[in-house]
Amino acid sequence: MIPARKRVAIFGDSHYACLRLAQGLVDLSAFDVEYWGHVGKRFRLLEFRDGAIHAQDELTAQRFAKFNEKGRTFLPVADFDDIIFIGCRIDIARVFMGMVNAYMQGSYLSLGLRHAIVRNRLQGFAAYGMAAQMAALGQARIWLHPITMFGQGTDEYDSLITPAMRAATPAARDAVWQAFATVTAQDGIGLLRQLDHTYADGVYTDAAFLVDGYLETNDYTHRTAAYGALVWGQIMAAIG
Amino acid sequence: MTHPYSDLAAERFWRTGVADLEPLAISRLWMPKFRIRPRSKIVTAGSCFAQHFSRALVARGYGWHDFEPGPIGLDPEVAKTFNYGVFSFRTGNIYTPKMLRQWLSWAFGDLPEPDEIWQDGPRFYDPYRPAIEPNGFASADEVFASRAVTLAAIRAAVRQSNVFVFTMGLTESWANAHTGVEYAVCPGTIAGHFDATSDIFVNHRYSGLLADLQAAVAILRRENPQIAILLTVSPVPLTATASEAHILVATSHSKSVLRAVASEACDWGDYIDYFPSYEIITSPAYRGMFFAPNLRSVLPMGVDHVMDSFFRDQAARFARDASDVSTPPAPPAAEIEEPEDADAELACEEAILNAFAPQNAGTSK
Repeated sequence: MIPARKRVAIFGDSHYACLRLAQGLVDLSAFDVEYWGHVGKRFRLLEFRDGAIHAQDELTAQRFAKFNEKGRTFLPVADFDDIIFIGCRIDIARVFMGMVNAYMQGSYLSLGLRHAIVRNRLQGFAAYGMAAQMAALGQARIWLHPITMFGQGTDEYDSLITPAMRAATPAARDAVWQAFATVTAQDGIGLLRQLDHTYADGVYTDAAFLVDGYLETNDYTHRTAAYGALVWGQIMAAIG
Repeated sequence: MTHPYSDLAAERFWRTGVADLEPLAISRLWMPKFRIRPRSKIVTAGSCFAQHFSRALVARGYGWHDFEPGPIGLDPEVAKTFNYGVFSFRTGNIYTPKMLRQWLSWAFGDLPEPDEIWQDGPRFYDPYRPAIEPNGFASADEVFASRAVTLAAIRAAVRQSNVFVFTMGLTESWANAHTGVEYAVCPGTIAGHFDATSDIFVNHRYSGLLADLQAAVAILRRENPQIAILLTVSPVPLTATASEAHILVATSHSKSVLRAVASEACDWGDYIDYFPSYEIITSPAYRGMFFAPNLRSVLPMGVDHVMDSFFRDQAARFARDASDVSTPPAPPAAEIEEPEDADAELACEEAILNAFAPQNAGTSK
């Protein structure tokens, strides 16, 4: 008997594009994959009710349906075994950098504080609330890959960056990710952290993973197919 | 015929200095010994009333310094919950001169840091600041690691600041009978467990308070010979007393002794001064108008009046235009999320369109 293929939903804002680009680079034959997403601006018009993520207006629903293989205007949890939140406006960079900075400076932050910082930040994102609500239903496994750090060379962090952050070590990043993993696990959400070899200059995403022509377009936000393939690797390892 | 009172200024007489005036018009209560400039590095420690001091300094653009700030990006509500930004370091309230002396001694190695820990089930508490974390720490190691950061912050604060403001709050305290080390609060009230055989009540006497303050000041001046010290006494009455006196009488005793210690300390030199926030709030001249209905909490208008007096008297003494300091500058604009600009939106659209373009349509089937 051929085992049923796992039903996987990739739910995201434009950060999910790299996973789609990576489809030719990874073997996804064990999965039925659907994408459901749109640009981040539309996320404010989403809500979770009746076991599904719904758009609050028809235009938004159609936007999300546009790139979905089945033309879905809403995303029901029960239709999937695993739902992967990619980006979804969940930008953790500021608190990530702050905690990395403290770690590198030897300024001890208690576990309670680290978890409070993470929880406070994640709870500020509507999509995170949806993920937690979905997870609470127990109908599908919920995973989260937050927005990656801005790309190497950007001036986006100029007002925040410190020498300690630029010198961040794998141990520093790991300590911070552990805090995120603990909090998301408390909410029943599996965390897919940005892999350690994708960083450069401490807290930036290595320029090798920035999209072609990023200098001309000043796009330090989106990632390459190669990065998407790495995330697919994480997903496959996670969902089995 | 003249005598020593014949040419005194109006504020030296009760009638002209107090009774004939509207309460809020009473002025020149303080003749500061040293100038505190907006650019002065000021640190604050002490009982809860000291919190108002730091907030007022910040609101007026003065250089209150936080030597143990939370991590970059810390949300204000989380910061408040974990007692960041309350004082210049995370000691929590320091009610007595002995507590101040202890913290300074541990920070600068004059005394070994005690290893006592309070444990409630799986949570661990620092006996010298048991409320610093909302639910205590996860381990004893965390208690010491966190305290080490605070002790380092105290060292930096003392060595790098110009003015050390200390607000004395209580004479009553609880200590370990065996070690003599004083706790921040009575064991068992916020955390820990009360043990009548090892927890002793101490109602500090004048001589002891003075000796502890003198020792604390000696450490401050040894580590930073230029540092100026500004003492205040909290006007907030005791919540409860472990003495055998009525709470009103116990409060009067406690504050009176602290107030006397402050005056005595002012004779030690030009570097140490007393600011009369206690009198401004508690004097009958103000008819109790600065207290909330519970007759304990100080109303915001009281705090404002105290701090207005502080800045006005500084300006008067050092010939600065009082109007410069009575109007708080506009607070910095609240941090807001950048609205998504059109270019960013377009880049996101393009990223998606590109990913789903036919040439990039990989197979997922």
